[in-house]
Amino acid sequence: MAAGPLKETFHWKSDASLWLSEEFDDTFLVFFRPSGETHFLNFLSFGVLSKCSEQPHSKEKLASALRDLFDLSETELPESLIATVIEQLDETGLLTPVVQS
Amino acid sequence: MKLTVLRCIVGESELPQDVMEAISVINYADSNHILGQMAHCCNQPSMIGVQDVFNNAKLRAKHDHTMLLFEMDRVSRALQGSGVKAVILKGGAYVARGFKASMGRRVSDLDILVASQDLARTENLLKAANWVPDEQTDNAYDQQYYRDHMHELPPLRHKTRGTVIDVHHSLLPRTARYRVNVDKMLETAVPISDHELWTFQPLDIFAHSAVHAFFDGQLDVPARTLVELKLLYDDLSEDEKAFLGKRAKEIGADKAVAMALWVIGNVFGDAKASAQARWLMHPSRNIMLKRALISKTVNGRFSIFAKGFLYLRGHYLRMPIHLLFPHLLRKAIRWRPASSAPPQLPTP
Amino acid sequence: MTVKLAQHNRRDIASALKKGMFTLTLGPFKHLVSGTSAPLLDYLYDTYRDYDVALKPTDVSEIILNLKAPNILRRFIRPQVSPDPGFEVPTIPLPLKMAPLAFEMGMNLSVALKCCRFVTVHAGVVANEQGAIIMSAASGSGKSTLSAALADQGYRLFSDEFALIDLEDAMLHPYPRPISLKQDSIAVVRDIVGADRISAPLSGTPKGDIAYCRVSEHDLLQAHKKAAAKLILFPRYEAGVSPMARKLNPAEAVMKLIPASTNYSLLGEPAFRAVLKLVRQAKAYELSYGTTEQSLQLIADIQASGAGR
Repeated sequence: MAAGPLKETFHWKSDASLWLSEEFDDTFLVFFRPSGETHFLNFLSFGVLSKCSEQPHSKEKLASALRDLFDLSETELPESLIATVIEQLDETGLLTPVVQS
Repeated sequence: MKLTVLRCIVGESELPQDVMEAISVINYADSNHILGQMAHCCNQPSMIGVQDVFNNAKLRAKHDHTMLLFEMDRVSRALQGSGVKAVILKGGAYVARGFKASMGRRVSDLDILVASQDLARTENLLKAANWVPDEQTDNAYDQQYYRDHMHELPPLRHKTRGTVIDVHHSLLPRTARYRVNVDKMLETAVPISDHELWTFQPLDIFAHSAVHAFFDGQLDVPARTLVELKLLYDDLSEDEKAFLGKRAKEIGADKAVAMALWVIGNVFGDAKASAQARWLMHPSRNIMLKRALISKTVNGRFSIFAKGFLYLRGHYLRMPIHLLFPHLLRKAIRWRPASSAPPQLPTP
Repeated sequence: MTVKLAQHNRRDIASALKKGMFTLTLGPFKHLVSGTSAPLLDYLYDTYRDYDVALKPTDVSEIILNLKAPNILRRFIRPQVSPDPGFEVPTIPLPLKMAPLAFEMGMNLSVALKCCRFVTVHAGVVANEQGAIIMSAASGSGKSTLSAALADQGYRLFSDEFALIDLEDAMLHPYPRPISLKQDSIAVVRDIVGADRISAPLSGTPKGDIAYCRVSEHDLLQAHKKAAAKLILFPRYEAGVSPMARKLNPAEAVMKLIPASTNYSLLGEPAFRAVLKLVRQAKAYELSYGTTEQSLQLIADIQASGAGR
């Protein structure tokens, strides 16, 4: 479930200065300072997080960037999967929508 | 316990040199939930072990603040783009404003205030973001009771985080005997940077704390209330203090503010506060309440009587008699333990 | 002055307990205890005989425990006792004869919820020269029995209840309080360590029969020496199961340690860093077993395979 109103046009960002991460065999532990929570992320979720910490991305941009990164096809990594990951990360606060002015 | 213990807790007198006396002051502060405030106010105690005890208390409060600030962030996200002006109340406001009164203070639930016309929309937006009715009040009687008589929605609990938010549309119950002008307070609310959230201006934060202390509830932990009022008063600038009485009258909080100032003057020996209290209210007013308050704070000879008085008064203030008795009866019959699971504790 | 409890006069101890001046020093903590019951005094006199005790506090303790009657009537009529660690906790008043249980429960609550100098994980810990073994498990999984059995094999007992993980270097601090034994494990451990070290069992407690195993003098003398972790085990007792050890990804181990910790979320980032250090230096396994012998064998096998080095 999203943490608030969702729009298709949203761009998503993550402030990497707010979390610490450690990789163990394709899984990632992420400590999020604002919530004090420790999250266990798979490579895909962590991929979304890293991409969004470089610059804000839309859902479509994220999907294509991650397909390139992990060498996956559109059927292997559909946009709906990215949408689910975004919603999950939105709920944790790790990902936030960019306020459009 | 003597009332002067409170001066020690706010750092205006030294921690006793005798170990057993120091321990009893620390225990008093701990059981009255003001050990964290004490840890921040007391400067550099030399006694061995005190620093560890203080650090524990500071960490606990810091953790609360982290949680609360994150909840604010989540509320801001849930209301994003809606245009709802949500004002953070009480502890949350002190933390958001970085007030001295927030330092070391334990906070748990988040309280927000929205204008009456935004209430339904706020509730829907929060529910869409995974807040659900808290199971303790999720029954027809409580839901209806809150909506008919209270100044807040039935509490909402976040489904995954388990945190509770109270959404207010007023500062006192619909049924209360006193009214404060919330609209005037909303007008001068101040935005919090980085979030689409607001707090009252500092004078109104003090006034609300006073109203909450003396006209809403039973003064369950009077020591904490007294310390909080004192620290909030210290947070006001001299200019703000000069304007406090006038502002209190404007928003209809003069009686509560007068009581608060009386406490600060009397318990903490602040002459300026005493003078302001006299300007707002004759010193002989509310003498029973003052006595009961002091007695309960220090657990003195009259404390059992005092507790009864404060309990009845608390309810009397919140609702008319024809509602009060059925409500107390119902409370007595339908009492049940808190349903929230206690923390997972190690077993022996 | 701090000397062993048994060297104090019994009347002086009773008086110090009554006045709330009884100070017990163990591992990294000082505990200030008050209480008036005779069963408590008997228990302390026996099970805590070798612990360092002072009858007048010289400084302020982090852990303050008051074993008091739940209300004034209960001091006189069918006397009861409940632990009061100075903050509100859901505790059940117990009959006076169960004062030892109230004492141990109260001490555990205080350590679990009051102390922020360590990451506190609900786990048994033992150590030898190679390092420490952490056994994190729910109650009833046999971790106390396992701790007692390993201590009997020559490991030092750190605790059967808490792993105290240093926030700076992730080293483990010993905190050897008596091992709490429930139901069948009382007889099992009595056979291992001898009847002399087991306290008089309390029957009919909310947790069934309970007894405490006295810590060896040797372990108490070493209670200031920390150790680095080499193994983190998550034992799971299941009757009739065939014994098995499954190696865990360190991230998985962290996610299992977090819910077993009483203060991880309170401590925040320093706890995260300390736990990462811990799983980098130790190997983690999930154990399934049906008997104490099986679990001891699994642990021996893991160590023999070199994983524990």
